Amino acid sequence: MNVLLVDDEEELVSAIAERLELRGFTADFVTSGKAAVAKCREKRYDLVVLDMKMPGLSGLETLEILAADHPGMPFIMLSGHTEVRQCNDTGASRVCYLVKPAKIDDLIETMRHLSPA
Amino acid sequence: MQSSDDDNTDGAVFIAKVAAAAAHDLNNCLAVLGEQGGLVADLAWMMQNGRPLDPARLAAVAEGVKRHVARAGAITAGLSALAHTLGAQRESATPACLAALCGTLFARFADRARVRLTVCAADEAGDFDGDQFGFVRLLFACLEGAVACQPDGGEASLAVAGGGGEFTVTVRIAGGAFPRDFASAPQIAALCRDLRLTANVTEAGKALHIAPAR
Repeated sequence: MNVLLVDDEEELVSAIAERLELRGFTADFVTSGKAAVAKCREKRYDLVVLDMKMPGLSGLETLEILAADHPGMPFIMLSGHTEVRQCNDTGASRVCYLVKPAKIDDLIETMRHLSPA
Repeated sequence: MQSSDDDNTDGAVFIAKVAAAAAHDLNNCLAVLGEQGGLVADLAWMMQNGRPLDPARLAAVAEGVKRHVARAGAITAGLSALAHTLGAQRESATPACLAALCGTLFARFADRARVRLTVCAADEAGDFDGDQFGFVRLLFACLEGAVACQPDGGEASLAVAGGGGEFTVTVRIAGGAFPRDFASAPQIAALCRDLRLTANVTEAGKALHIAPAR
């Protein structure tokens, strides 16, 4: 599975990417919504993990652009304000919300839920 | 003219703003520390399963842990210093020391606005003898103004010269300009009046000077 991780905390997002790679995923990371939009235009991803609160384009603004650019692409949103996993995965945009910081096993389980292939 | 209730509300809003930003930053620090701890566990598991451990990688993780512990420590120190500007907990502080505190508290807001903030507050003798909390709020409001009136990627600086009752604070911006009437905005004007300070926009809006009223 090709995953793009987006968070302005570079050391956080790079550590998550490394841990996913150790588990057999292909994980790239960027540190802004703008960079995520550009990255998704140059490479195909099965899923994008976005931090809600970022400078510049917020996580939600980035999600709107990416969902319009790539219909059907699933997203995981990381938020400090969510207490449990919540998924809206029946509509055009399949989105799950996870509490930040997310445990790696919860993240992977949610990734597999959204993108079983 | 602001009432005491308005002032208390403004003070509470300021604390809430600072606390929310600090909580967000601390949460990020904890998230980084959690992932780095998880990474060490992953590396240990790999080593147990016959994969070589890269000492440089482990050292880099350890450095990251130390860096984020220090970052979290600076955030809590800032909150503690802010608490010590008020009431019975109040400690003596120079104008430069209070400006440096304001710079620390404002750092995340500057980052979010993509404005590079520099603080030049060489400590000079002489404690600030007024309401320290109000002074920090005033400088914070000035920095909010400095960020609001310039585009992303701008620069702002906060400098203090002098100490005690003889000091000048200068907020300078590189892009954009302070509105000519910035100093008469209700919150700035009320804080200046309560603190017996004057604020003036100069240099075609590029600088804001704050000094004791004569």
